[in-house]
Amino acid sequence: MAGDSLIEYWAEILARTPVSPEVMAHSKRVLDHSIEAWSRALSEVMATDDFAQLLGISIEQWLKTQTAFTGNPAPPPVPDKDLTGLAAEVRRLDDRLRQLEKRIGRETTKPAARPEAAGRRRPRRRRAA
Amino acid sequence: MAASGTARLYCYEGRRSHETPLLFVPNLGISRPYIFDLLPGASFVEHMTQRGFDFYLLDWGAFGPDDGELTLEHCVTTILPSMTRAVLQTSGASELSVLGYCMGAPLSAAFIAADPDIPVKNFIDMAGPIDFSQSGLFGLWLQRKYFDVDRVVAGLGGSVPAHVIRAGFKLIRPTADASTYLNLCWNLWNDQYVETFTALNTWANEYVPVPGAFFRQWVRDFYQDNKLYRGELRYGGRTSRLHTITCSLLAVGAAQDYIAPPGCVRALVDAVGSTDKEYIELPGGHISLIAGRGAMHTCWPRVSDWLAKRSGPAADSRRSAEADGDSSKHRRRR
Repeated sequence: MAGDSLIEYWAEILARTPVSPEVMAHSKRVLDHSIEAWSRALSEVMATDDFAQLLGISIEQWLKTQTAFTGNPAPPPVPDKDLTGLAAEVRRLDDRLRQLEKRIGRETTKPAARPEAAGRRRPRRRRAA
Repeated sequence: MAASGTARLYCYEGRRSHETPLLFVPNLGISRPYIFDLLPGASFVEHMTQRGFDFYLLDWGAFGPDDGELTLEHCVTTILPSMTRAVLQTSGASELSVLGYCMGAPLSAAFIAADPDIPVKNFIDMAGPIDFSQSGLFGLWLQRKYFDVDRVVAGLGGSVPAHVIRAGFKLIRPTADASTYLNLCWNLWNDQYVETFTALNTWANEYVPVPGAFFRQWVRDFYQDNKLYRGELRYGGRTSRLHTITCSLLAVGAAQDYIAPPGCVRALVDAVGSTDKEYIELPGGHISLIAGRGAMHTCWPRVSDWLAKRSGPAADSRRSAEADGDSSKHRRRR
């Protein structure tokens, strides 16, 4: 009932108002500028470290609340924590190991590569008189 | 044409007048790819097929709670290579063009940059962030000191549900809905506007979950560590270095893009080793760049013209053009 009377009221207002295309276009421009101004203002607020920090905290709180309500505790983050970081670490270790193996290989094959050096006798050590 | 896990490759056949087929790589999760073939007369796929390109759409699929373990690394090292092979085999071409939209662009760039032997002739980045240090609000909010991605994904049960994705995108532009509905009110008598609005709005409110493992790598490696741009992204034992990309490159940024601001898209042009490269900035936002009736006048012709010059004529293009006349319909082949 209240809704009907409101519609009637607006219909009456509109009937009395000379709504020309220019007025409509002007209203649209005003609304567009108003929305744009709000958007700019909000974007400025959201582009701050304070907002980012607040957002981070809010997400954490929301997750905690959700977990409390659903009764399903979140799976512990430990097993999947930084799996890609761990994989990168393993890969780095693997590369390092391979480098070490290569170096060891080079060191061990050095004498064999110079047979004349291997056959050469070491100078005999003389005992001091 | 091909399948890998939830991912499917679709081929849209049209009047083929270019030798080089086009592989379209959209974002994974977040939204559905039918936006690119929204309505007759307002479809990017239709536009490209009418311009004579064989259009291959990679649909990453919809993800459920069981798909939480799909990683970004798997997409780059396994799915993209297999889809590329499928495109080349099906089309019989020796080279292909890749068009990455949104998240699909850095994924494609990581894939191309990891292996210089991939026969990519042309690469187009449409609204795809590359330098994440310039990625705007998302870049700020997702910084490691504010956003612990492991805890969030674990707290969400292993994947990021659609309503959380929706909240993130609504937050980045809180007044977007007001603006959208105001424009609708002002165009209620315009049937074409209302038709496009209904289709676009249905799509815009249909969010898709993102697998947890994928989201972790996406946030950590791209937003937090900016590894692709810094040449430190290493997946499957290969490092993706952008300067190894030497194919023809077009980067398209949208002036009012809040998700991938123009600066972070443009960065690709300076990072690659290509000599034939170009950046264009067009009016519009992240979605209106590629979808809707505005895009068909501002963006699509620029992209198809650029690509046409670099895709070579198909051997039978002249003959089929004469025979077909106007082939306005495109067919989807699975």
